[in-house]
Amino acid sequence: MYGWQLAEQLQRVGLISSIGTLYPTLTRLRERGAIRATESRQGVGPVRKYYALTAEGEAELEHFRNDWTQFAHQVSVILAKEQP
Amino acid sequence: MNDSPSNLPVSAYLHDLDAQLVRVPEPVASQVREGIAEELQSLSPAVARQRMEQLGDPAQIANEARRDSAVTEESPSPGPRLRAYIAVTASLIAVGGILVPVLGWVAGIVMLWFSHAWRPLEKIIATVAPLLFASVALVWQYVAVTSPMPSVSNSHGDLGFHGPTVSDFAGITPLLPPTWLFVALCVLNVAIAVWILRIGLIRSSR
Repeated sequence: MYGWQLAEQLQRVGLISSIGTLYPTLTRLRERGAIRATESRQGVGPVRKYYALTAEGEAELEHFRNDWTQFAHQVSVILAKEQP
Repeated sequence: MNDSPSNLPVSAYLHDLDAQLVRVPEPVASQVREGIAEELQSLSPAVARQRMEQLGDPAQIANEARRDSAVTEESPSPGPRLRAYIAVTASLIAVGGILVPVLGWVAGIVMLWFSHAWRPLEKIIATVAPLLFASVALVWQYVAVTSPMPSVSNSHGDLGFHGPTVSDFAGITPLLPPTWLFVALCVLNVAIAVWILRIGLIRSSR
């Protein structure tokens, strides 16, 4: 995906407020080696910078996914107990 | 970029964005600019206008990029980078002037002044001490060379005035620093470099 596509998706679900928030995050992920950027042209469109997960990024995502599932489950259990 | 009249609003928007991104650190500023430019420039003028409305005020985009970049910069430990900066600064002050006469030392002093690793007084001392020492030494050297030499009586009983002759000045050029001054300056700069290196490293480890 390229920057604009990422920004649109993240804005749609309310995770970022504008495209200005996206690039600091992408910079952080690139510095960590979690993503890579490649410039390419698709079809007749302009040359764009596309971002993709690296192998490290994939592993990190998988790790996060597991942690998040567990965390969300625990929070759900706690909230369920608090209900009268 | 194509600055045709139909593209003028995009140019104006990007120009405004560039001005607003000045205070955003690199590489984030370039990436924001590239990301927005590649999108806007791929669209027809009418669609591009809609996109610009969707993007909003360039000042707002820049503010958010700057705020999130500040978080990015503070998150990793600045230690290794700061220590490397301190080491390079000290090295330039110590031997920069030997490797690249004058300019090497000036580069070290500029780096010194641009860093928060040292206090203003330390910067002033590191900058002024070598200059003051060189100035005093050159003046002293100049006065010593140009002042009249005392007359000396010779073995033949000639008590007439004998001022300095051309041979008395052989190897001494009052306007050029003599070797001893060059060596003394090098020693002084090395001492200052060790001092600022020590101060910088102690502060960076806190």
